Amino acid sequence: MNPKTKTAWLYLSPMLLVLIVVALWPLGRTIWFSLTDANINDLDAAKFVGLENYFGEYGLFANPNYTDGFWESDWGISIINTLKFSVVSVTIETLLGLGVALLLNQEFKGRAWVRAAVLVPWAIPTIVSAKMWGWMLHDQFGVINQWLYDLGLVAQKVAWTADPDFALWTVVAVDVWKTTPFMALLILAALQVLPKDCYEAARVDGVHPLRLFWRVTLPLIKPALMVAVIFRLLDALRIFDLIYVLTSNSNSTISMSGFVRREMVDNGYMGYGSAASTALFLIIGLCTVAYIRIGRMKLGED
Amino acid sequence: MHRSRFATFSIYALAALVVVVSVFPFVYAISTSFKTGSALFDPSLLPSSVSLKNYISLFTLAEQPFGRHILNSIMVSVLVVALSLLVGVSAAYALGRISFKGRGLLLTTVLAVSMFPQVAVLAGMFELIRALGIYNKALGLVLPYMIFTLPFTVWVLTTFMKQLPKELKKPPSWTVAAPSASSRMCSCHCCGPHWCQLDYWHSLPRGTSFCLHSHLCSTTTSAPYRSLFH
Repeated sequence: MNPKTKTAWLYLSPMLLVLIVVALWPLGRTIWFSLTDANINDLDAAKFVGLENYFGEYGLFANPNYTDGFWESDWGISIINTLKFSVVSVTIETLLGLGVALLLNQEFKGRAWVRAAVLVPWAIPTIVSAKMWGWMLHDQFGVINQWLYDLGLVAQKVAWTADPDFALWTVVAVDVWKTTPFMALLILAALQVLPKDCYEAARVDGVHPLRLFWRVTLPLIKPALMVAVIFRLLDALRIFDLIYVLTSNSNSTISMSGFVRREMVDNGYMGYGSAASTALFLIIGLCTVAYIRIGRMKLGED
Repeated sequence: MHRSRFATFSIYALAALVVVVSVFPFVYAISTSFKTGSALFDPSLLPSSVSLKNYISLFTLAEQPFGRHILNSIMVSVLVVALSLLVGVSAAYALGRISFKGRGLLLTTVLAVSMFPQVAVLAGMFELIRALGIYNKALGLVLPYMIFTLPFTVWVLTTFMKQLPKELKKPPSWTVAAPSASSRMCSCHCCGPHWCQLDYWHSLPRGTSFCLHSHLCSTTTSAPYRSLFH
């Protein structure tokens, strides 16, 4: 091993050690539990049952008790909910975040204050903002319903978080409110390090601003945009807290993480829950690989 | 740069809109916190009478020691940030400034760790924390938080280290120092703003791991949660 490589691994070793302890080992144990009939109250009594939790009589997939088909089962619904939520919310957040970042990149009076204000939704912990929105969206006393009612936009107050027609989209809306600042900040950071000379040259040549955006700005911030979208996507696919606080265990909005929690903690089926979480892990992995392929992003290259 | 009057107007109008949308729920929550009794059910923004009763009971009720929850939060945040930065900056230096075989693969692996849905490690983490004897203690939260913060730190710092001018990597002839000195130089001088940025990001969105939190600590809660659920 040459000295440079040696130095590199030396620098990397603390991180690797931490990651093994907090991630690899627990993940391995979870996968092991998914092959057993463990119960949360007595882990030592767990017996190996093979793939029973995945494909057995009461398993996640190919379960003969799913009389209405897989996509009508709780697990199937939670997969669809999670995918719908992720795709829609990340798309809206990226577009809005780009817009806000471009706005904050302009020079105007009070820009520092606007930047600080934009941080507010991101700075508030999810639990707190979810509770805040839960109160604002309350079906009887919520301020949102009051406004819509006063403006005559709704004939009667809407149960935003309870009505199955609205619940998932309400969650998406709150998530967009909460996470757009994250996208905006990452994109803004990329915008600020853009070389000024490109823009000088474009201005001298009289290039149309829109063309400038498509041909210069967007390609230059693309790497940062990709990283931001990846992190958001991974975050959205494992959504739990927002949905759990806003709509609790409601079947119309349950996410994959929510399903795992319900089985593992509420029902105590550690083995079955672990199987679901392992499946969730694989699904998220597939989504990421697909995304990276589509975006033709080359990781680890300059 | 000169802007047309219309452009200036739109910028200010959009900025105002962004501010109102971002801040309103927060302002509304503050306003609600001053309301008591039946005034809570009145959706108007300005409370008809201001009362500090909620704040007083927050710190005086024995079954809800809010001051201790705040201390718990601070302790966990400080530990997680310190650990992430310490471990992250050294890893980011290796990943961003030294070219070696398997660098791309390693970055992908780190990304893979951060994509762990928190529930995917739930069963194993539950067992680990119970075995370490920190179940139901605030200290136990440091471990699961690292899953999220460490990869994020490494990625942001690596991206940044890569953008630094290449000249910094090759130590000038007058120093005998190998990578360690230039690492120190890079991290202390150039990463300053980024450190703050990361600090900020890590210490604030503590709610991210509510999922793990709610299972691993049933009674020791850090500040925001307890107040909302009780």
